Amino acid sequence: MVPAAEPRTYYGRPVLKEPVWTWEVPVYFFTGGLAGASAGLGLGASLAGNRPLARSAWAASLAGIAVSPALLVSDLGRPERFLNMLRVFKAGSPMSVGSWILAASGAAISVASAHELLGLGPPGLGRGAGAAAATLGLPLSTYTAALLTTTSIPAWHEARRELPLVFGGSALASAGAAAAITTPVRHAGPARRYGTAGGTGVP
Amino acid sequence: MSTLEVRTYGPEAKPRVGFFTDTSLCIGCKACEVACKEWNGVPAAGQSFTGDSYDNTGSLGADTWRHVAFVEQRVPLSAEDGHDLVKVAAARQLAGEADLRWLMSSDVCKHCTHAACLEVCPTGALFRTEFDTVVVQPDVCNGCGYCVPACPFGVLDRREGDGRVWKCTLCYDRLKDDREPACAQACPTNSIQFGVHSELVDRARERVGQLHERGVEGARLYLDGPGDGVGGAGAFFLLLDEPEAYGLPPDPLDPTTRLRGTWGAVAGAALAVAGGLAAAFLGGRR
Repeated sequence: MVPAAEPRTYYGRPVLKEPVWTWEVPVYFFTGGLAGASAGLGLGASLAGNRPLARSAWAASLAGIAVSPALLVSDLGRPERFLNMLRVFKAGSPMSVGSWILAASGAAISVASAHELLGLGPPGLGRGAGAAAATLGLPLSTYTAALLTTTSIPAWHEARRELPLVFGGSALASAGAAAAITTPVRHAGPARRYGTAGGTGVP
Repeated sequence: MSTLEVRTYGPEAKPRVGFFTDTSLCIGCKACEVACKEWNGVPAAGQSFTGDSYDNTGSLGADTWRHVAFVEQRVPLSAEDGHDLVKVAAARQLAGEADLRWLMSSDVCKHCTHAACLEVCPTGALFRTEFDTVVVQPDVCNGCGYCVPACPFGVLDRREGDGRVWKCTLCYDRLKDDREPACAQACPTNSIQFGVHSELVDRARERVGQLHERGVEGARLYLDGPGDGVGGAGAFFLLLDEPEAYGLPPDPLDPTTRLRGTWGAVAGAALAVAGGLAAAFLGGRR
């Protein structure tokens, strides 16, 4: 029989450093996912002519995208240097990719929401921004899984295949729920189905 | 990958340099820790008494760029196990009845060939120098902290009250003046050897062969070749026991080498979100 392996350590100290990220980062995973998935719901409702649902979804998307950068900036060790995130683009860094997705989403969601909620701007621009926001919302609600799993923390790194789906499903569930509670019941059918799709997609 | 990056320096590229830390020569004097602090102006890391042998430094971090580990081991030595009588007698005389073996090793940033910290850095603050070393630019770092959990060796950390990440620069300023890093210059036993990487690797292989001939069977090189998960390292080691005994990972991996597959999973999940959206509007009216 093979003797049981005895893990060896240096005075019980961890090999890796504990992440320095604080509560802002997991809260951002929620708000960013909410903003991204709500943009898709908002676009769908606008196209389907469901005005009450469109207003709710775009409001949720705007709220989510408004607080997200604030959360991330406040988590930095040097918050005043947040613009350094847009100094370079690196496909090999999920945080770099995410910063650009977040910046572009912020612009698209703001313009789309201004049009959908307040009627500001020409309709063509609003529609275009809405489509862009919904498209960018897909990576916005899922890239955060790549951010977490591209680390040396074994529990995170080993989840790299499943975690994107979990985050995407959670974003769907959040967006569906947010829209369902802020929309009259008879207009909220797609939001309920949207949220349910996300909820059942999460293993 | 790193050769490609260094090639972008064109004629300014220099041969890769590094450290060969031969722990069989380390006497645990901590001159390297002191010299590093002095030269680089690294703040005090706080006074503490750990009770872990002579190690009151603890681990590498923002304020500790060299860390001497002290490993105390009770190694049963007896003539019955095939050790020669002279060696056993000498060990008994040195350590009394319990046969104590004291391993010391000066740890440092590895300056990996595939450096996860550098790959994930979103600002470009971490960069590869013309000497093929990995350095943080303090005027660019915004303290996002991504490199901290990315490093498979737990080298990088954010400095309290400063907010930025700091680590060994392999004395980039000294390299530019053709001088060796402060720790290597201060080392009195030549346990820390600085030089051109390829020459150090040759020297290390010769040294480990000599030790094996002398019966030091536990001697092994760590991070000396491109075969491991970080593609080898600029700072590599000769250890006398398994890496775990020194607090080093036995099988380090640059997590960004698997990023392509992860982006694939992200794309799949994004499509699934789009599918959920389509289902919500096309999935019948209720």
